[in-house]
Amino acid sequence: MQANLTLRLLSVAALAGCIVLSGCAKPKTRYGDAGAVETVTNQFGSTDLQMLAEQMSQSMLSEAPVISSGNLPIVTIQEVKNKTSEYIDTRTITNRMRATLQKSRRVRFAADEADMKKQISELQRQQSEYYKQEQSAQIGQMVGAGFRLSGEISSIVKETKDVKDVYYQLFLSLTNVQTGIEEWSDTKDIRKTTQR
Amino acid sequence: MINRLHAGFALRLLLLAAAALHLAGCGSLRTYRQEMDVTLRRVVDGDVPGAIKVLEKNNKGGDRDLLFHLELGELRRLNGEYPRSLEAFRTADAVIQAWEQTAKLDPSKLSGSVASLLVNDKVRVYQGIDYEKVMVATRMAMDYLAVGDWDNARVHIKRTHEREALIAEVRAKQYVEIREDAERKGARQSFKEIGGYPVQTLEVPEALALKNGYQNALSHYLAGFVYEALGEGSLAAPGYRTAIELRPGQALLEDSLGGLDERMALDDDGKCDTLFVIETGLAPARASRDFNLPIPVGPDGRWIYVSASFPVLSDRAAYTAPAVTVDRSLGVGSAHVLDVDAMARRALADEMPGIMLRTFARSASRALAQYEMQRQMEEGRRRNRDEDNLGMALGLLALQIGGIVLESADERTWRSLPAHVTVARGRLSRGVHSVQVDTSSGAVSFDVNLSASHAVVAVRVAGGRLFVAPGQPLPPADAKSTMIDPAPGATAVVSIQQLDRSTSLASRRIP
Repeated sequence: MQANLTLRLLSVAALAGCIVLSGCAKPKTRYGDAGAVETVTNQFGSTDLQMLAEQMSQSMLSEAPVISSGNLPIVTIQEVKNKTSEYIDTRTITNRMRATLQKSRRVRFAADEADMKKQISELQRQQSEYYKQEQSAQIGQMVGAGFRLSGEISSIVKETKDVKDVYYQLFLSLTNVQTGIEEWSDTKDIRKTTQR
Repeated sequence: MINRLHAGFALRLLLLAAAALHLAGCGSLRTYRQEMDVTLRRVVDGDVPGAIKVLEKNNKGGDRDLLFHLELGELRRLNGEYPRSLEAFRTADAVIQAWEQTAKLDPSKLSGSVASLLVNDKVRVYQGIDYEKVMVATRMAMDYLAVGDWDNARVHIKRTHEREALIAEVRAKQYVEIREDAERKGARQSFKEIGGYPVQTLEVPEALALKNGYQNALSHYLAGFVYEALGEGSLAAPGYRTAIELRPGQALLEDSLGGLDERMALDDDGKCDTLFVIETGLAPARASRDFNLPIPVGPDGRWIYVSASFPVLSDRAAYTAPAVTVDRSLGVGSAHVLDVDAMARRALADEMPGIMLRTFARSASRALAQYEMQRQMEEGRRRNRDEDNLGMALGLLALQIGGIVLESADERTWRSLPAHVTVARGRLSRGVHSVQVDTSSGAVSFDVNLSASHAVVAVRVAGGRLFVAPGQPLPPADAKSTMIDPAPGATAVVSIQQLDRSTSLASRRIP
């Protein structure tokens, strides 16, 4: 009888201790590996972005003849169209690709459409009386790109009560601006399935 | 059958309920619907500052929870006090961000307080209905647009869809859990099983047609427009696409997506892409209504009837989308993008299994106590012990009165939100235009001076009145607001914000 009571008291004390401790628990923040696999949800995430950008950059470097020939082509990046229903900032994919390709020292990039306004604004600013004209960038000296990189990302989402399946496909192509000939294209796919 | 519990346990539950009631304070006895009826009457009468005073008077000190800040933010917005509205919404948003944090780390903690099982749902900490959580971010984006801060508007637009995605994840799991829990405990799951419940108020076609109770096309369409204005086509497209998925078959939404690439490629042609956001009505009120629940108790399976309260909504009023006419002749394409009335019905229908589960638990304990007292009275009668019988009868009466006092459904919802929002959009030449908006409660007319590539013009028609808010921020060249409303003293809020993309995305025109 006494042992039973002690056991019950101990159980209650343990439970109370757990409650107190759980009440004190605070979310901890730590730095993680930016390249680590992220599977928090099945929405488009950092791992998908890194994977697609890396695979596409490698494909372009190894399989696009204009790049592998070592001619140091000048490329401009057009917006990759987002055909999914998810808010995917496709510039983050192309920005990462641009960084990888530039580091390879086999491609150069001309100002793209999104950057053009800033470029013109800076050129115009340097023409003002406040600048030494002999050191200022001159209007009419910009170099046009020989190739344009464009593409689209699309998705297929299937969902039931227990499973959500998302399939992403990124398509990119490199086109010769003067001839219109498509020099390279590739697709990369990602499939993510979540069991609820 | 509830025959294993002892009446003493049920009585202890009642004592616990009394203690919980004491701890919960007056919140458990407040009637939010009545309080807000008085507050919103002031709005309809054109006295928004008076409405704010009533709201503040009803919520002193510790009562200032999430809902207070939501209502305050909306009322200040109605009054044209956008920075102060943002202040209130920021406080509300912080509460919702804490909810988000819990939802991400430990969703099981979202289930609510024990007190609601003992007293009523009104003692639960108000966490906001899902569509309200999304709407606060949208409202903040609209406030930022009203003060010309497109960058911060973008931040809150982004928060809108990120929050939606989180709610989708959490609810997908929770709805299944609640259903399974109810099945396990033998509780009724559908409000259709509550005798006399006004089923038709929740099963309106507009509510049944909704994809879910938290996504709205306004937030996504606005996202599309803001991202497009900022030159972010890859983010604008899913905004328009999701708006179409949520409110299909509306030409304006489809044209917005179909013409996105063309518009993005356009050079400055001297036109202004103008988005009119026309808000009408007030969100529906939840009212507590009593129902008699029959509960089988004891080894003999005796039916005990206990009074239980459930929230109900009044019948849906017909909605006619307003028409927008520019310069007395040019009709602008429009789309009905937000139906808070239908969302409130859908949200309540979705919440009902959880509400019923908690109400069932409370009712069962009261039924058991009632049963035990009745049984002891019968026993006393058999033994001719009148004193015991009198005590039991008084106890039974106290139990029933206590039940009536405590049992009351949660009426809390964000009432000052508009019931409906329609957007209209047109490419108008820059300069002054006369705009007329015809609603079922009358017409409001105002002039806008469009001087940039994009502009958002928000108009609110509250109740049967229209008014122009004082102190509204106006675009650089000034916008003149006039009234030709048939209802004298009518009330409307007009806010106009424009984006000048012709210079640079970094330097935007700020009024």
